[in-house]
Amino acid sequence: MFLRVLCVITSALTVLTTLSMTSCGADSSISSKAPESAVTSTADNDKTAKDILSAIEGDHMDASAFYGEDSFTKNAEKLYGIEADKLSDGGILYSSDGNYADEISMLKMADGSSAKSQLSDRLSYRLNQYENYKPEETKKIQAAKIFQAGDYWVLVISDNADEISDEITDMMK
Amino acid sequence: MTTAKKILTIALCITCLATGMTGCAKNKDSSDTKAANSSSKTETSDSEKIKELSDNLEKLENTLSDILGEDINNYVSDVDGNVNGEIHPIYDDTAVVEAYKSGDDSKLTDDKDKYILKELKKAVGEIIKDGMSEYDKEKAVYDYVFSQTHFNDDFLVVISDDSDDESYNPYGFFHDHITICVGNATTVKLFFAVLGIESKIIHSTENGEHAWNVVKIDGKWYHVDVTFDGGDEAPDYAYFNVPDAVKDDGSYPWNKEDFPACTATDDCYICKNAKKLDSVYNIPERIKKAMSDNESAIYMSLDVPEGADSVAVAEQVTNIISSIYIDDCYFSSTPVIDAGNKVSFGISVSTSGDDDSDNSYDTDNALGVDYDKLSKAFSDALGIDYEYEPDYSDNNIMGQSL
Repeated sequence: MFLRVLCVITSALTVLTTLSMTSCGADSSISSKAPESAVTSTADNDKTAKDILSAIEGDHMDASAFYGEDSFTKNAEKLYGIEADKLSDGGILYSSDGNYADEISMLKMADGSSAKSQLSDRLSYRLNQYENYKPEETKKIQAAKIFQAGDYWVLVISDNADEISDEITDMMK
Repeated sequence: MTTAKKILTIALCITCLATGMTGCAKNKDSSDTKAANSSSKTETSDSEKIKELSDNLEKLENTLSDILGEDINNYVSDVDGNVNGEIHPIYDDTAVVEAYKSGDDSKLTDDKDKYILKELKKAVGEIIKDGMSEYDKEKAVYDYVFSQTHFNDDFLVVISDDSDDESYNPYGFFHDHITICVGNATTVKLFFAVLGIESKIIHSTENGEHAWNVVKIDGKWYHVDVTFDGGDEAPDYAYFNVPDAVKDDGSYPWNKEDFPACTATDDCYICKNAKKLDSVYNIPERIKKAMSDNESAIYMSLDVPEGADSVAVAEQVTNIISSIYIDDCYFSSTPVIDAGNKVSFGISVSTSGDDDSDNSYDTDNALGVDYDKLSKAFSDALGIDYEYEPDYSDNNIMGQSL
């Protein structure tokens, strides 16, 4: 009787131990992954803003200025409220015809911080301009996209903002 | 079960127990080792961790936006003045005004000032007649400036070569007939100055640049903004002698302490030319008449219902008019002037394929509009099946679609 009881108890403990082995194994697999998942990998992409923007065909966007060029350096503060030396790369595609608000701006901050607020301010400025001077462009500006692609922040003002955004995201992979 | 078998079973179970416990320990040991190794590999500085967390938060925000199907971030942030674009100087008209009034231009040394004076004299001779009131002179100047210049679209270009640009002063107006807001405002002020009409220029630069005039007519001050007139072939007078409340919409703020208060509506063009409507249901008939008569702009007024908020009434009227699209025409409203117990407004009628209605308002039905009745009024007046829906997110109603 005693042996029978001991056998039952032991079997039960065995089953429980077997189950705990399984969960330990599961836990261990999670814990081994956790540190790896804590490593945020960013796309190691050598493409510059000029590389990306030069490959984009956007409606009405027939002019450009890129980081390192005189026109970009001189106008960075007017465009984004920051001096060019606060950036490590950037560029802008735009329309040489003021009737169109189309624009793609790409910024990479030198200290790795976000350029989202600069692009938001730029968008607000353009919306205010066109709402009053050329209201027919307002809808396009209201539907603009601001997003991060790798180490860059991007603003897209275009009737094809979705397609252009996808294109840039794909190129940055 | 025999005793031997029981003992064997117990031994087997104990063995399993021992193995299991040892295995857990081993796994725990190995995971600790891996964690230690991983943490040593992934050890980052505090600033990098903060950046990672910040980046991950933004990615989460973007993911949530995708899931919800709307931007949870307000990209169009409150403009804090960091991006202002180009700011243009205000032309000093002192020398030209003095030369005009004295009849002696010998003190003018700048060839452009001499040109401005010459053209100014010619223009005044053309548009100003004896016996004109201050209001008549003001309107004559406004009509002349509107008709003689085109907006310099380069002002809106992201990066433009403006080395020879004169569109921000009266020389650009008289010589090139291309101006921006600053050019219009300085030219208007120049005319007023030589005609003895008191005026000032408001040059707003906080949210980007815009300039317009305040003018004193028959002892009362008004805003007049020819750049934002809204008209195409002919002026709409959207901002001809309007009060502070109309210009004070947050787009281009100004320091109220530096300028006289503009509270009157007596000489507001929209108010002076508005025809009273009995009710909002009369708007379709009035529009039909405008289309028949090829009028580019019509002006109307509506009494504010007792107990209703005149601001809410004004917003609702703006939405009603801006949401109509019929036969390749679209209708936009001039600013709605709150004159106390009535609101006055203008409707511009133009042809366009774009619906630029601003559906950002969220007003209550302050006018108590029966939209079915309004739809019927449009249908009866225009002879088409027309249904008006006050759904501001989907208001591109095609009259012929029913």
